[in-house]
Amino acid sequence: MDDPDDPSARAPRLLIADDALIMRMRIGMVARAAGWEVAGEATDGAEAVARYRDLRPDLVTLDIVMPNLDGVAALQSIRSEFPAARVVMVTAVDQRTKLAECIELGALDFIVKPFDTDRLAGMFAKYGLAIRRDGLPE
Amino acid sequence: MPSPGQRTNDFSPAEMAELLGVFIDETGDQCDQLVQALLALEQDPAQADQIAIAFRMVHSIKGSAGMLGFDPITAVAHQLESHFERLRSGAVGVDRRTIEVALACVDYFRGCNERLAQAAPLEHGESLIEAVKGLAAAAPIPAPPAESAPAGPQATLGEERQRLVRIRLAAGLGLPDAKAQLLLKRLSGLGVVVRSDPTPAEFAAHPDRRVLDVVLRSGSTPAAILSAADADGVESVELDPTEPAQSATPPQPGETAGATSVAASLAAPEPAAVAETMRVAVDRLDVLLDLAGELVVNRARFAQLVADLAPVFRKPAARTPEWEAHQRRYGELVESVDQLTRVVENLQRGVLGTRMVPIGPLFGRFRRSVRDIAYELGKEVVLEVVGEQTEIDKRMVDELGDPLVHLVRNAIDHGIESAEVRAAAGKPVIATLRLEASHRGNEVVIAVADDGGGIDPEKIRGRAVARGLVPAERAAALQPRELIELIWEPGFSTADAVSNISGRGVGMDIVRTRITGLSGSIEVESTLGAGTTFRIRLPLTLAISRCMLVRLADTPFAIPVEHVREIVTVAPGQVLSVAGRRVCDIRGEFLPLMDLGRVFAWSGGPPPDEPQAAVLVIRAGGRVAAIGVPALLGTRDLVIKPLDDNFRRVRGLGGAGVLGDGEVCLLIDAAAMIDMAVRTSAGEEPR
Repeated sequence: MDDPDDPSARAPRLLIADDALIMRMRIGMVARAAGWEVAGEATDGAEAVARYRDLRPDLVTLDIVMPNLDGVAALQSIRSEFPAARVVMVTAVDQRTKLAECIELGALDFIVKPFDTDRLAGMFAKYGLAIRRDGLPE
Repeated sequence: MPSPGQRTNDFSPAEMAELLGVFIDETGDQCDQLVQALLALEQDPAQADQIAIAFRMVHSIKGSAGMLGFDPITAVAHQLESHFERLRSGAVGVDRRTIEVALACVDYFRGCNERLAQAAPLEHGESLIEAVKGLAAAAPIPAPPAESAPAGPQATLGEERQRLVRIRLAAGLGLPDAKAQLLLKRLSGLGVVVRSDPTPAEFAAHPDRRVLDVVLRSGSTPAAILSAADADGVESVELDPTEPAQSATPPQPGETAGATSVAASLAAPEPAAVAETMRVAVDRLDVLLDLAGELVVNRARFAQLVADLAPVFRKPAARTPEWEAHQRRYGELVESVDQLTRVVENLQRGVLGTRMVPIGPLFGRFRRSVRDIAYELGKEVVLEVVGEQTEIDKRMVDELGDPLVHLVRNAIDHGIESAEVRAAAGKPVIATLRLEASHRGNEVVIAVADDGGGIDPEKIRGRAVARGLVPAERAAALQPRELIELIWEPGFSTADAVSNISGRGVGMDIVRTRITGLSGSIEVESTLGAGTTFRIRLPLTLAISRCMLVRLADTPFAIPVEHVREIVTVAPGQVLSVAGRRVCDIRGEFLPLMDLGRVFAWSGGPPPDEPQAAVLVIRAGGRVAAIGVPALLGTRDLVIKPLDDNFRRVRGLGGAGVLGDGEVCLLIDAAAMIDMAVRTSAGEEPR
């Protein structure tokens, strides 16, 4: 924990954007268990963009369906300002079209609701390692 | 379909259409073989036989294209052929650039085939021809072609190489087609995605496919490619795998790309090296298995009818010529049924065989997770895998993953001690976790064994009382063996039990439920200080089971024979009441006893008070109980169907079976029945 900017020396930081508290809690619990720090939470897309700007997390999870700005627009906004932002979309199976759009917009990955805890934990472990290796997004 | 670059005037449109189909198929195959030869040469450029194959393939492509008047293809093939000719003569050697340019030519041929299939005009390959000519110059002055294959845009051939990225996806992945799209997008950030098999659209049509082969032309490092391909839901990524792709070519129109490979008895027509397998959708195999199962039942019906007729033909009522003719026919009937029996048995075995897959890949998944979990917990664990070749039903592989993950986690988290504790106990500091599979009779046995600290019965006693599972006074009387059995109780292992690893809200009761859902059983054996072994027993297949039939109030019930230890008749004097429990004395062994009628006291009404004809000694998971039944009907092969979809879950029932005459019977879940017997005989009401 000596150098706060060296990603190999600290826990990777996560921003969770979801309008449902229960989803934020679930994702947060699994992330913490996988050794992540939950740097912040956002309850809609606009807040997600603002929080991203403030917190500059290592990764953000964006629900696709959110009030104000939806996940697609929030992704676009974040990626245009921070082209290397790591964004994982949280989607339901019926959001196929919007998901395809997100992939084209450069989302790093997506997880499908309802997700199983092991898989989610696996994902955080995977990207936690990658972040330690590759460093912070610009 | 005349178009620029094609002369088609020698053939009628109908002839042309037919020839075109053959041309596309054949040159597609030739491209595949050419690629294999090129990749082999890349590994070892001195293989004259591979050069000969490459030459032959290009030569054939040139000939076919020439015959049909596809001049642009002919021109490129001609140039390449000339170069291969020089390679063959030894005038020039094979270098990496040769391989790259040749692969670009293959892409061009394939691109041409796609255009031909869509009746689109062919593109000319001048830049490729120049690139091939450039190879001929002895001094390697790379002159990258400005634009080469139309299939791959901007194929600069500098430091790039074409790689096969094989991505294996987790089972039951949501939106696999979107995941495929994502992976292609991520990989395209590193180079040009030349091809993907299947395409995302094909994934949408066959969501059970799990392997995505991507041909990527890229100058990126292997690490970068592996990282880009390793998204959520990706189980493994292989770069340039050496084993033959399970389908290097796109699936044929009539072939459903499914999830399991079966050996095809039809020999592959041409190349000897191609593995003789084809991909078949699992649901098609399920249909076959169902039909085979019905046939088994029908056969049983025939056999029964023949047996019923036997007494009629044994004693001559009146020895008339007519009767003798009947008797002869009856003999033939018996023979036919015997014949049918053999065929049906072989058919059933054959169909079952197609569903059997080695357990190796399932075990293989644990190599990584054991390392990760152990690392996270600061323990050193070696995974030992035994019996990877053991075959089990494909569907069980899918269902077994979660329970095994849980057992493995538990073993590392709770079973295996820290290095210090192990050292202090004089045990090897590095712990061993063993996954073992074997066949035993009609069962598959899977063991998860650790050499950890074992389960401490006293700790179990404490926790069971603390959780209110057992009253303190009863807990005090329980034997170590009985205490260990308490781990299966719902509520025994719950959230606060726990570290991050095993405490994910899944208890051992869920593990047992999952296993019994597969008509299997699980038992635990633990020695304090020496380790714990969980042993899962599963039937070879989920679909057909040999059962003992019993009758209760006109309803047949079935219990798989592997759960029946013996059938005994019990005199009234053998039923005792010991410490409030109803027990049955069988040759000095005292077993908890329960009547079937009491278990299934229909709709809460009074249990049917039929006299018990026999007592079945049933066993499951190392435990035994005696069940009194009113009438025995004998053994039958049953096609087992799960109840879950149509019925509320009833404790003690594990499914339904169909009898030879079409009548439905209910399948008894032996493990649950034993649970109830133990409880009921202890004075509790059955639930």
